[in-house]
Amino acid sequence: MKKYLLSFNMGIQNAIEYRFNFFLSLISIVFPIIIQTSIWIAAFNHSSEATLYGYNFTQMLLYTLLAALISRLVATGIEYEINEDIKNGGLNKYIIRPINYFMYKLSVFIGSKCLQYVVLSILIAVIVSGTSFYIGEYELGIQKILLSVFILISSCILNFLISYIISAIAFWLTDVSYLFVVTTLLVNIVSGGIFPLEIFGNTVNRIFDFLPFKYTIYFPVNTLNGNLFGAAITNSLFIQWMWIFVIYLLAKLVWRRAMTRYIAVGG
Amino acid sequence: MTLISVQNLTKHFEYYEKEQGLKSSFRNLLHRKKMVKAAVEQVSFEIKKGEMVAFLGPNGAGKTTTLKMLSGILHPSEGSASIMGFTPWERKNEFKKAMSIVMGQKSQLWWDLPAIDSFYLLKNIYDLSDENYNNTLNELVELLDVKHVLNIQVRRLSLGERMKLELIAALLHSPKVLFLDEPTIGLDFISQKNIREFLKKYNRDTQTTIILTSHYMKDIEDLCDRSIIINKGKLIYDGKISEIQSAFQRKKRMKISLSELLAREQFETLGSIKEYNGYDVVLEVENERFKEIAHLVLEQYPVQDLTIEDIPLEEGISLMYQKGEQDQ
Repeated sequence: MKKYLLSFNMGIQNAIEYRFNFFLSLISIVFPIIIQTSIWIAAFNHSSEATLYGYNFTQMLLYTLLAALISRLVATGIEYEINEDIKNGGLNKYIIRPINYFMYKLSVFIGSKCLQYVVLSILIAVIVSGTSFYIGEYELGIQKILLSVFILISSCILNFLISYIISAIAFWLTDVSYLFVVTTLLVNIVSGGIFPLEIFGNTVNRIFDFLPFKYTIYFPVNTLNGNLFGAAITNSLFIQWMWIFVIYLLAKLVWRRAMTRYIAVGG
Repeated sequence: MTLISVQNLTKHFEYYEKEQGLKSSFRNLLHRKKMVKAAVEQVSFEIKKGEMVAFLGPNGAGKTTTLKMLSGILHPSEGSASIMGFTPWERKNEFKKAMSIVMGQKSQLWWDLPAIDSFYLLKNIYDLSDENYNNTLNELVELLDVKHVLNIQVRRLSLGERMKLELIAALLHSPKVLFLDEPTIGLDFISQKNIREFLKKYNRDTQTTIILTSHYMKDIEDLCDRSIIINKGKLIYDGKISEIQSAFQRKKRMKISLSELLAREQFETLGSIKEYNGYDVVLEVENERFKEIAHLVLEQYPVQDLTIEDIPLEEGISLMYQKGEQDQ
């Protein structure tokens, strides 16, 4: 196990080495938030209704803010690294050693995200407790906090697994780094990372119910903003873990197949 | 004791061909002609414990592909291999702990870290005890003389220093089998020599079985008794390097410098003329006749200088490649 702890350490070292990059990425989420907020201001101004898709103006802003932060919290970007490893033969050094590539990637990944987790959690906590104090819509007890933390961790795991399985595409298609720009955006949209999923209408939402994506962003956002409570949360949490389990098994299967067709290009 | 046994190992790669030009690029978008290349075809051999064997062959002959299959990186299309009783591409941890591969063109160290951090990670990957790790590391660092670069980020080191560190990384867990793919590629003469001497000593002291590919004949001549020659994916020779020499070297090469201009015809009866410019002549003569001819030349011609040498191994081997191609 110590090897994975060390990999985790390497992740932290990397993050410190590239800390400037992280602060830039934090600043960069301000822009989509401004754009989306402007869109919602315009939409609410031109509508005679007080709520749109079931959200009033404050709730919509809260959703936008939380969704942007949680998108960043669960984001991985491992597709690009794995694509590089596959394309340039970097995977070789893991295949020939008694180390599990998935566990290694996961450890390094968590290590490199540590700083982000802390900063983003503080931001999320400030926003949630601020609104609960200001609007007073729901109680923020210790139980709720622990539950929220657990759900956020589960969301990170689920999204990591989704990224891991998507990155296996690189075994079949050579140089797909641009494809990952598309999949990342698409996954973010259908996860509810940009707009609340309600705007897609009932039919599409029925489909989303059978997909894992909404359990990475839409579900934690709606837990934190108080839209979901009681049994609705436990039900979703149950489905979330079911997806974690299913995608883990699927990823194992896909990767096992993929490794047999790996061609180890270069040197 | 046979340590490695390979039978009918074959690897086919699929690829696509594109003719020159934009038009064919568009055609390829719709319909691509799938081609199959046999990178390695029906290769079989056996290697004993403690042997040091060279894989020779021109670029694209299939040497690296063979090594990749033997180290478990690639799955073969056909055939079988057994190394210490393991099938490499099953990628069992016990197998991985008993072998190592170094690829000259592909770094296995973590670029952003100093080598010592990579080594420490490897210690834990291979579950080495502190004592074991420290002893091996100190010994290797001493032998390769790299103490002063251990704490520097790998990306800032020279190629020669990096190659030595790659070797240490591969040997920390004392593998029983070591694969080396072009370990001296791109290195200067002195670094090449250092690495060769190190490998020689290491093989002698630890009885580690070593298989290496190289383009430098000096590597091969110095290090290995046995060589396996591959061309176009097929095994064309497996045997002693000295026997390649004797098979192709029924001739000796004679370089003659003259003090006066002599006509080409003067040499034609002696042997085959390889070079001629009036004052300098290079002749190839039969082994049995070289004494007699040398005598004759020295006596009858205005000779300034005369050297006699064996035909270099490179030429023997390239003759072998050509022969292999004719046989097909």
